[in-house]
Amino acid sequence: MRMLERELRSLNPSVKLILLLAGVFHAAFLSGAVVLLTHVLTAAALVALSRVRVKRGFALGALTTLIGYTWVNYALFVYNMGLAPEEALARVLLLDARITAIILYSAFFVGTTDPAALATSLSLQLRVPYVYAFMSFVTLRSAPMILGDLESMTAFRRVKGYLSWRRPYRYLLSLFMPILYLSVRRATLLAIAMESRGFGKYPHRTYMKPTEVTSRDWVFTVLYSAVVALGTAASLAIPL
Amino acid sequence: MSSPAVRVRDLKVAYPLAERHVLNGVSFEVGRGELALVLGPTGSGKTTLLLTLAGVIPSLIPARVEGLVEVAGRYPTEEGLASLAGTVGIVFQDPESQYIMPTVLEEVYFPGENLAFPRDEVARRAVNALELVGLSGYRDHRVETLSTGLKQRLAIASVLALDPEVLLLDEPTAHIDMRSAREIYELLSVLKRSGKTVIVVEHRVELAEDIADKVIHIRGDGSCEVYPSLRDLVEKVGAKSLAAEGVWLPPEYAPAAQCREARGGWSKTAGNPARTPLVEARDLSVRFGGNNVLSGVNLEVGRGELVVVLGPNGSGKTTLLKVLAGVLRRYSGYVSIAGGPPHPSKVAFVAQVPELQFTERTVEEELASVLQSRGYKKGQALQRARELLRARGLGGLSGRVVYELSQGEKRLVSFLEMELLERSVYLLDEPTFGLDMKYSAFVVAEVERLVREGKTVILVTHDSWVLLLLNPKVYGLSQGRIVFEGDLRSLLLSRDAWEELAFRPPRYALKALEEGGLDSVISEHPARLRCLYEDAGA
Repeated sequence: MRMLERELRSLNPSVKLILLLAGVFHAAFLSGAVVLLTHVLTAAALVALSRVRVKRGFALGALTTLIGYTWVNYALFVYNMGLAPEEALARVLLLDARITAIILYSAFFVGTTDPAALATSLSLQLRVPYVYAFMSFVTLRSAPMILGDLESMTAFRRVKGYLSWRRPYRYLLSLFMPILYLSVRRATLLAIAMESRGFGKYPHRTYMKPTEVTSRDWVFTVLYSAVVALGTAASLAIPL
Repeated sequence: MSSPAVRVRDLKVAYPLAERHVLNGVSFEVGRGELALVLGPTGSGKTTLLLTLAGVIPSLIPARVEGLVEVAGRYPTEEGLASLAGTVGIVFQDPESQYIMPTVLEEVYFPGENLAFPRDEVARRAVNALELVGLSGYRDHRVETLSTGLKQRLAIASVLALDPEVLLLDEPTAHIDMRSAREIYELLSVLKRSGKTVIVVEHRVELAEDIADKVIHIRGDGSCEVYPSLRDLVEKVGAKSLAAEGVWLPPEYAPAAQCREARGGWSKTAGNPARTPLVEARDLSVRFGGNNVLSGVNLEVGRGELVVVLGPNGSGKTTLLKVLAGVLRRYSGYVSIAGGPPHPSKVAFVAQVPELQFTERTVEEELASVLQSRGYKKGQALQRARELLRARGLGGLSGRVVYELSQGEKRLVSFLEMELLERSVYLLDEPTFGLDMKYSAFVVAEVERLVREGKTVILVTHDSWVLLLLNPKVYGLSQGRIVFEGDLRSLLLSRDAWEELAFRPPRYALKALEEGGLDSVISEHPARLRCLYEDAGA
């Protein structure tokens, strides 16, 4: 199991990205129950085998989204489209399966991908100019800082007794300006720091940890494609 | 002297829409292997000078530039920042905003990778740079786990990996404790000896004084004068003027005659604290993600008492304040504020980053918002805010946009709005963080005002200058545990505790201690400094 976890975590980020995107579109376009079940099970297996740690907040967010989505759609199907409750429930469950598959694939990708390796791989394997490839990486890096700022700002507003239920929009506006100001200031300094270290000076650069497409990636591609193809064939053979 | 590494002739810089030049006729030369110390008041253009020398201005930040700027035979204002990578390196005051990669080794690889050096060369330069700054043992550490002092050293290592001829540093010690600050300057001294040219903007002149080959003094009008040493500068410009500019002058520069009256009056800040504790923590522990951030902390602070919590970055100081403020509730142990559990409505909390506190656009609106949350009508609140600003001599700030203020002014506004809350407990998180001495003196005065009014103040800091000026009761926190408790005198005598607390007294105090002058460290020196800065209008 440990070895399998290591192998899944060592997959080339670009290969993983392409395959999972193909999987998401496959689940979106083919709405058969068997296809969707295949994707949900495959994604769940990937998450479990790679031992991705899903944070409680993320799991709760995903769960509440699913529950809300289920009831809203069910109500729409029954009351607006006039579907029978059983049919409405079946359609809603299919939609839920799609969303579950997307959430699980995303959790697998985020939980097993090093942002720096993703930037390197986008540049080396997909030929994305490295200046753009690193932008995604730098953006990801600033996310925890912004979250930390928001947490502190909420705390200071509680100390000031600032929240007024009569004008809640004022509270949101009060968060917007400091976040914008601090983000712009940090982004400017980071841009100067990066450029002063030669970032963007030449169109190419050296990679100390280059990413490659290895036999591991080919095996994963073949296995994943086979599972998806089997699911598609089964869906055609057993129309549900 | 051979051809200078940096040559600036009649440099004038003006930002778009600005009414005047930020730099106005600046001329100087810095030779190879020399270290130049740049001093001047806030807003005089010190950072603008460094950004121009690095090529940031006008390539990334638009400005009108006139005059000659030559750095290591290159022309930054024409070539731009990216072209000069490898020739000029720049390091800013906040290390958090400068690192890019997740691990220490990757961070020092980054510049060499960008300049497309062969892998062997990138690795060789990275290893050398880490060795030079003393970070070889941290190569596989994640950058976010390093202390602020280590992060600043990493920022320097990352620049050194390009082996630049000229190194520019903008207040590199503003955010770090005194011990780390000294280590940074020891490193700069080594770099200087190895032939690098260093230009450093620094308010804490005692750090750079001994290794500076020249002092470039930028005046308030953007012009400049060059002096061979700090002593020459003090003799020509005067200690009082420099103090008004925010320079951290050691007490030996404070004219003794002016301070005779002050000596007796400033020996102790705290009044007579009541015996009943207003703030109490017993066996307080906090865990985050399996790590003990606070572990068995015991703390007792009486009404009207001033307590300083001292400790290195990451020792749990801010977490302690958050628990006491009632904004962090996941803790074990007993905590009591004014006889009950902690709650945000019981305390005033001054943030390390003032912008996090701000909710409004202008200064008067910001202060009025606090009064409005206490039930004042808008008109009344604005009126009271203006009166308070005038009473503190800050009437000119009333209509200013809070984000346009200098860092020191922002800190004062954040202080004033917390004062308006009129709470009995004040929690101050690194209130002199990144401030020059003038604004630090303002902060010290505000803290003293609170204590005189009978408020309980718990102040977190690693600033040894401020500690000596306040003369408080001290709790020393290291790795989440209280490792020291006592008054300032005991701390100065407990050298064993210094290492754990990353505490180093200012150089003047250290020297006096070595000569057996403990009393002068506690009473005479702070009195002289107070006298100097109060006389200078701080």
